Amino acid sequence: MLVTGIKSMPVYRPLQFDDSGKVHLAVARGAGGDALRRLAGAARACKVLYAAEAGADLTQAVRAGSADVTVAASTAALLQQLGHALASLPMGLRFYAAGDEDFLAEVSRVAELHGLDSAEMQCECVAPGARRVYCVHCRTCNAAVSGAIAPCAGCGRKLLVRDHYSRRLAAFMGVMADAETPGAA
Amino acid sequence: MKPQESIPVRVTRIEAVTPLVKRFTLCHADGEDLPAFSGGSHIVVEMQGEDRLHRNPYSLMSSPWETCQYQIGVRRVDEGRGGSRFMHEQVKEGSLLRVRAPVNLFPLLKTRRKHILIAGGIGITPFFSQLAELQRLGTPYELHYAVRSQEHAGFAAELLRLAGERLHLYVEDAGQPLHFAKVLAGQPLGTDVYVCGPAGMIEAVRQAARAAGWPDSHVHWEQFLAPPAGAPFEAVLARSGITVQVGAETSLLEAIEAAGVKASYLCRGGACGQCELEVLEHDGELVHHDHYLSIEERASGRKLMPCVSRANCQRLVLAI
Repeated sequence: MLVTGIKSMPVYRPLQFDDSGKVHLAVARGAGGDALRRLAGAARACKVLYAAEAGADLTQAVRAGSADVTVAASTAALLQQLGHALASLPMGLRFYAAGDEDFLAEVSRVAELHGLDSAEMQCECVAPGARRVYCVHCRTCNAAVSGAIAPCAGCGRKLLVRDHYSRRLAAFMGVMADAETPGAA
Repeated sequence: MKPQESIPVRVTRIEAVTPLVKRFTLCHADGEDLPAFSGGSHIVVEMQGEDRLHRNPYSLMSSPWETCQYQIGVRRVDEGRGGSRFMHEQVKEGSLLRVRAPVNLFPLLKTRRKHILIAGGIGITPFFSQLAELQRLGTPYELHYAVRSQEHAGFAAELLRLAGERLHLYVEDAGQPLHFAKVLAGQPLGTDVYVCGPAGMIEAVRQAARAAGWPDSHVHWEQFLAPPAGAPFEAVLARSGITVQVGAETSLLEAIEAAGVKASYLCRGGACGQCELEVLEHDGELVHHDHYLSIEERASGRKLMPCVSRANCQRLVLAI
């Protein structure tokens, strides 16, 4: 009973420089830095915000690719800097983001809060298939879940991952797969 | 109430606002409340003339929180087909008319952070009801209103009371041109622009927005076209099994209605797409005037909006 064609689902695609915009801002975390390097090749002037991750530090490559790079010490610092930047930027902005799904969800939320819509925003997911899943029973957010059924880290229930995405929680909905006949799934 | 049912209304007040514009206040003929609407909505007014029934769309100017009355602003167009002349010359206080329930093709996007409203002349009308909404929402907005000369600025005093310093009035012949690029420059993220006015103004705003990097999703416009005149032609209504003659001054939709065939419509001005008809066969040229069909749909030769579009051919067969 997995439903498809749900409009709230996030759309990911390889970042492409959109020259209909007048100002460009790109953010990335960890391995997402690679997408920024590709984008920088096509971009004219693009302000970049980057945060490294343990095991995925592309700081040097990102710095080499763009002239205007700010490296944030953490994701929280990056989000704060992003908020400051968006508050002062005018209409005509194009916004690019690359990273894992958690990161994309967080930056999308900040961007939407500042009035950006899907026509002004692009997201590239570096770990496709790994979804954030919210357990409706114990409210745990499970990171990087792959597959349609996975155990919840919070309560151990086997969760069926529905194609039902919450932008507020930035997660897919997980419901107990074998609630009717426990142990069957 | 079914959407296709018209409502009897009585004209309770007529005000001459400018030499060309009158504002009509309409109340339900039986004293009932009128259907609720949102800012930017329009109604279609039916007027029984001597030789024909006029149906013209007019934006609602009254507050969406007042359903005891509707107000519309009608600009007299002497070279037009007679609907606005009828309103100006025949309709008196106390006259009875029929209107269709409101439809909104020009709503405010209430999730946005700021709204820029740009009006030219009679294009100010839909913004009156939107202003009432904006006052309640408390969202920042600007109203830019251009008129040809001071005598056409009859709504300005009222707008000043509603919008205060957010109103920017441009009187063209006093050397106060409205520069769209300047208005759009430096607006914060999450701003939308709404424009209603002459075709040239709408096009100029859309171009200025594009040039400033605004995506189309932040640009909204409304313009109702009067059905343009053209060479008479004949249309075969395949499903009804009849043939109608479309006169030079009549629209295809009106000809279909006059033949007693029920056709669906909302705006009658080429904007909404509700009256779209499938063209089964034609041996000439489809003369599209609407704002609705895409370039690809026009090129396909399979679709026609009978409210404003015509045909220049010997044989036209429609799926109705």
